[in-house]
Amino acid sequence: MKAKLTCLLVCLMMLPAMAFAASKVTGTVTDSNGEPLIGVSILVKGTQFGAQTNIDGEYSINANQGDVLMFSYIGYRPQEITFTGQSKIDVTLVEDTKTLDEVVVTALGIKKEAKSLSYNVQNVGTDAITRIADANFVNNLNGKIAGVTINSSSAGVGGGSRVVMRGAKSISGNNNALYVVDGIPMLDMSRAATQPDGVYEGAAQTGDPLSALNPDDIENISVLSGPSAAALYGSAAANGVVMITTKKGSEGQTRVTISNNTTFQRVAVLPDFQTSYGSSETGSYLSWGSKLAQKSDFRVADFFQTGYNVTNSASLTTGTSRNQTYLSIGTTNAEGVVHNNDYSRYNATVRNTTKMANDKLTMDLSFMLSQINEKNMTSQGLYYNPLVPLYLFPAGEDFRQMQAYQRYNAERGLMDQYFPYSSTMALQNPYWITENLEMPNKKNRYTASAQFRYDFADWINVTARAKIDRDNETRERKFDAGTNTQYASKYGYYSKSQITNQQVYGEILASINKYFNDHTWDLTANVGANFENTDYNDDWVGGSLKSVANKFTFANIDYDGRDLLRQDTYHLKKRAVFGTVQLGYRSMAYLDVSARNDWSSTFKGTNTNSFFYPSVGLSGIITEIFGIQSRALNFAKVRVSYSEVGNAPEVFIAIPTYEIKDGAVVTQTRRPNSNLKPERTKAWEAGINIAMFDNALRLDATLYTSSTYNQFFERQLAGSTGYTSEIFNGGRVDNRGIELSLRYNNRWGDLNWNTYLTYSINRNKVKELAADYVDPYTGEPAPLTEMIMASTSMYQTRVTEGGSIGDIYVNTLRTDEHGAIYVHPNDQTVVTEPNKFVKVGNAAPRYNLGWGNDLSYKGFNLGFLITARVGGVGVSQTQAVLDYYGASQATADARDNGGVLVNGRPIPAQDFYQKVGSPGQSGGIGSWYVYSATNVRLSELSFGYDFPVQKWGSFVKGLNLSFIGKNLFFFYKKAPYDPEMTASTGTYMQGIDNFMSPSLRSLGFSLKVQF
Amino acid sequence: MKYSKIFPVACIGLSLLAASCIDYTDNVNPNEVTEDEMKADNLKTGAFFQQMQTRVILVALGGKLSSDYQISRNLSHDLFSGYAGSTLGNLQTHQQYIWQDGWINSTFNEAFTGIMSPWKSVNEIAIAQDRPEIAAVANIVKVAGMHPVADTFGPIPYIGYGSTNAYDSLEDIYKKFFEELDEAIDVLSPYAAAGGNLLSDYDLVYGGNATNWVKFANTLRLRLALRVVYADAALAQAEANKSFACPQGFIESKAERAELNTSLANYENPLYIIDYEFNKGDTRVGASIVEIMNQFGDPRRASYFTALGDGTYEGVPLGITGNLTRYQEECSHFKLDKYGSPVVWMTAAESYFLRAEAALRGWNAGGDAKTFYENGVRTSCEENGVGTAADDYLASTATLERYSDPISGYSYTFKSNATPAWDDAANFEGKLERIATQRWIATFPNGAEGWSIVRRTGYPDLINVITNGSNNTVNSDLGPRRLPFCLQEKQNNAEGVALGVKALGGADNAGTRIWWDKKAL
Repeated sequence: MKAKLTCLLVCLMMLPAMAFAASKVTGTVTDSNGEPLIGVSILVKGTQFGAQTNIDGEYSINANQGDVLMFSYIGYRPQEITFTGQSKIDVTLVEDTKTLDEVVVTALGIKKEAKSLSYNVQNVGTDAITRIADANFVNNLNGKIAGVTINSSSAGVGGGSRVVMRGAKSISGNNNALYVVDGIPMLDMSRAATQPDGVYEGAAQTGDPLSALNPDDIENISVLSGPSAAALYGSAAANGVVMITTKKGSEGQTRVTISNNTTFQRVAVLPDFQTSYGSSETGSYLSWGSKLAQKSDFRVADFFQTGYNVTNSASLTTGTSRNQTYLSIGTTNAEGVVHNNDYSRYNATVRNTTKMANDKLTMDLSFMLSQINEKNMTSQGLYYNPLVPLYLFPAGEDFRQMQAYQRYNAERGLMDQYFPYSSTMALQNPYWITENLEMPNKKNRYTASAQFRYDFADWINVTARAKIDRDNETRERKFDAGTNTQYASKYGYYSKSQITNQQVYGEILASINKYFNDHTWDLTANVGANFENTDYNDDWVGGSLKSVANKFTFANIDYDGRDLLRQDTYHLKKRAVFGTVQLGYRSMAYLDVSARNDWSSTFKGTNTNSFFYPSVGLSGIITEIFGIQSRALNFAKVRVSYSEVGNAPEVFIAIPTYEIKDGAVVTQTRRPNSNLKPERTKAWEAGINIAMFDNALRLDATLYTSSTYNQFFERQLAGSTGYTSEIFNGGRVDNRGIELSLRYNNRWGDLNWNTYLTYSINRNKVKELAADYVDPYTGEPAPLTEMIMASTSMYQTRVTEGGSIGDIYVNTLRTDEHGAIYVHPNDQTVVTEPNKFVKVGNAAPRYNLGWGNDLSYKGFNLGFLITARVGGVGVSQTQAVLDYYGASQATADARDNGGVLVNGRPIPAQDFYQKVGSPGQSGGIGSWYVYSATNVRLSELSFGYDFPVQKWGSFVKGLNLSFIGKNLFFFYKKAPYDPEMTASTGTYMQGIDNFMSPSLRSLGFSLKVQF
Repeated sequence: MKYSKIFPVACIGLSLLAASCIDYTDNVNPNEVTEDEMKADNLKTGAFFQQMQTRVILVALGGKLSSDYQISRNLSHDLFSGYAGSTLGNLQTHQQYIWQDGWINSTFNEAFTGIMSPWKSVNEIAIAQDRPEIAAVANIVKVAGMHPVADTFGPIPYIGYGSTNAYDSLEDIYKKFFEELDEAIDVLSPYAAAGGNLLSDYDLVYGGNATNWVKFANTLRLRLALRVVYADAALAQAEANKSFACPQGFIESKAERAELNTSLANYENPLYIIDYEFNKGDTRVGASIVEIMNQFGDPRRASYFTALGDGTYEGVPLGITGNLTRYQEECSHFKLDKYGSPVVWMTAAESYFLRAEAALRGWNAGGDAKTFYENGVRTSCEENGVGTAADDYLASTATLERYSDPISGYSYTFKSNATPAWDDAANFEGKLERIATQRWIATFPNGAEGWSIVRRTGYPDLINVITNGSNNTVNSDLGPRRLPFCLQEKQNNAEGVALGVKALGGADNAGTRIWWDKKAL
């Protein structure tokens, strides 16, 4: 509808306004605040005569008596006024809050009326993601859409996000949502984004492909939480899609927008540390010594600095009716709370849209460039993580000594690490880690795309588009001489990885949109084909240095070392043909059918050539069908849809090859399997959309169920097969749940209140793994009903038949026949059962709630968002290590109280905590460290003012200043860490805190000026 | 409707286009080697033969790390043999007889993926190419690499490997070992007689020298024959007799001993890495080996261990519960070079000790027990660069007394009367103890073999574990007799393991004695 209006407007502007024998009408168009609206189009109904308001909202037009004047402006309700000879018609346009007639961008950039859709689409405007800048804007979707669980990475500013929609579907594969930018799926960078899966790693993490995007370039985000878009985007869309539409130039006056968003971060959550007991003995890192005469004045929090994030962006849009240009630049400069955890991003975008050949051909060209420099992104882990030696630092020792982290070693003639402690964890001075273990990543990303659309007639067009998206990355690790010998030789360590990742995408699509039988039937059809080639290469060289201290160059790497050179390469080719048909009947009922056939290079070497998957959906607008016209019930729609999605395996599974390691060819440990079929997801969803009370109250509710089977998953094999694993088709995971959003908008005079509530609940069930599996080589049964997907010494994530993805298991203390903790009667000690694991819950929430509010009054606006996550558990290995070392407040309390109370009796504290606690890599009793992950927090708060600049002059057209805050405080939280953070954005290693970087509280301001 | 014709045409055209431009090679990993590429230089045989060799005692070659050796062998065999102590951060592990599933998985899996899997390829190609001599050397390496695994668990799936995962009894496995060694020696003997070379480009042990391969196989046969002597004396003697009759004889010099030759393969000694580079050292030499050699005044200590500041040697006992830092700092390291110290599968000295025991048992070993015993000690001293000290040592009548751990205060009194000096007047057990003890000292630091010597003969008496966390499944005096079957097998090959438990003839725990472990102790 808006598009049509725009078209019309375009036509109008091309025609010189011709005057007939008519009278001149003038007037001013304002919004409900009395502010003039610029560029409102006024049209004499049934003619092509029109005009536009000027900078003061004034217009003039010639009209005959009886003519109907149509006032329309994007974002406002159109108004019609009949000209009865008045000389002045002033109009107040009301903001259009009802979005049911809105046009939403669906798959492939095809615009459809929201009311015609048979599946759930949720829209998020640019304001929701840019108001409070986050280097990865996806984090800002949290709480604003239903059906989605978003966990931000603990890797610090610019880190990735885990975005899972409608529950995890795949046992071994990727469960993160697909990102689609302007109709084209984004480059897959999961291969390069290594995720920690144990206690050691977690350093030198990097963000996901999305974090390279400039949030200010985004016009709109639509979220399809179900798999309905899969027919158009392919397999990856089974996990749901985040569709991003970027800004284009718009015709009219040249507009420049400049904004600045500055936030400061402080650590929000830290464990409780004890300050009253000293170290066990000189040089020991254990704090099990005697009580200090004076409490230690060392505060862990003092180690952290105030982080900042400064985002600047400038954009320019200009254009005529035939040619529009958009230009933008953006910068993000940030420092984390740990020194040397730095991030900077520079974005530049240019986009041009041109009409040619009698306006039949539209060309849309865009080029985006981004450069990211990241340094020391550490999400968790015992290695290279300054938090480990920091948190464990023995009370009573002088931390100021540690600040002189390097001291001159006269014998070697260089600065050596100062760390006069010994430990079993290869601990280092925390400042040495931040200053002398450098882990910088540099990324350059180029995206160029071109789209041509030819309109054969107003109901048929063909679009061809192509995109090349290229990411070049350099990742380095430079560890100085003096680093613990576990990580480097006495001269240091150097590694460098050069990654190139390129996606070439091409598509041709024909579209029809035609009415039949006097608008009784409305047919929309798209048929297309596309190709996608992905080329990935990672060249890695690394090893300890050979002879020159701190000389980080390849020639200085100790060539006697192992595993010095690696190359990881893959090519992936995908081809698809697809089609969708939507048939609408009198704008009251719609039928959607889609089909897709995929070819994937990863099926080469198997019996599968290609695979096909369909979807079908039906929606009916109850209010239209039954002719309901009521202010109490403005609109009601019911919808139901069914989708199937096929999926191809990963590269190189089907065709066996042998790895070369250190120059030697070795046998495969993964048994080759050429008998692979496509993985399938079958999903149903049904929903209602209701608008009530003059569209003030809107309810969107969706019920869904999905089943993913024939999964590709890697199972362990008995070692006696000569292999340790195999990838095969099996297993089935079901998800079902509810997505609910309720919106209310009302106005009382100058006060406007907009509030929304989102609710997501999902139940996940692993229906089967491979209970009936028979080994194809030996013919012997090898049933599989349980797999351990990630583990530490005290925590495991298992996938069990009958369980759920994300189930957490922990080991336990021995209990007596009554279930109470067993205490050895002789020496009053507890007994550990380190290998007896029991299920304690799931890492996923039972449900999520988001409650957002926007209040505006005469230019002031107040926004806040409260998010709640209810249910689920987490395990803190951090706490277990702190306890083992005697560094936690709990151990001091126990010592003060003469022991840990177990069954009402005190147990000697050190013995107890060194049993339930963990010395780092190993040990620990998980059941002692299970916490509820339920939490309620004030996620976002903003308070701003739109200065009435237009009253002061015409040069500046808008000025907004806001104070913003993020993650401000918890209304409720039981865990000693932030349970919404995750060290891994993969499927597993969830619900575990193992020295994750702490959650941050942000405060700052944003300034936006429009010229 | 002229446009309506566009769709069908376009659809068909696009479908054809879509399907046509994906090739088979698009799904082939460009950085890995295809079957076709493996045909050059007979690489499939050569590379996999090398792989087997680097896994008999796992070294960090071909993608493996010293940490793989650590969890598969160092934290079990090296501890239970008395050669090593564990100074790993977590003390509640194998050193306290608390079993770690992941480590036991590794002990099992490294052997099957690293030895059995490449052996299968080599063997199949050898048969296809009609090269029985290749199959023969591959079989020797397989037996050398797999008998420590069988000795660890008892039953393992060995005989029908590749076609079944069923576990075989240890008795059947040993009979298969003998069969394989007999056949290999028969096939290779003509090559040896002709001074032939085999797989010389790929042989990291003997550079292709067929004679040395026969000598090794022959000595290995004698090692395995004596292993089964308490379970099936007739079988033991029959196999030993074949070895005595073999014209190539036994490994008798350092040049002939079976080791991963550092001039043919450049690799890190895994014990060096674990001792010196992991944390502050995840392992140190064991209290038993250090104390026994200390009390005997053994000249090889300077080659085996690093001396402490005062010139003495100290080891770490099993079952420690604390004082980790002190153990790391106040105990001796393994005396090894990172690259120069070879991993030895079988010492030259061993063949003398084997023959000494055979002679003691009255078998026709071609000499008397005393001479073989003393030559064994001399050869071992020579192998360790202290040959001149051997005579004095062989005259020593020192005996083992009381051990006291200076760090934990734990003490233990050895039950032993043996001396380094041979005593013709000693009874059978006294002589056997001398032979076994010296063979055990000479075998250091090959933990798998050392543990088998101790289990089979009961000699030498090792220092008992300080803390025994096995829930009474392991007797502290006897030490672990095996490792429980690994979890990965139990989870994925339950039926196969059930056969194994049956063949084991006892509970699947570390206290159950395996088939050849029959001596009354």
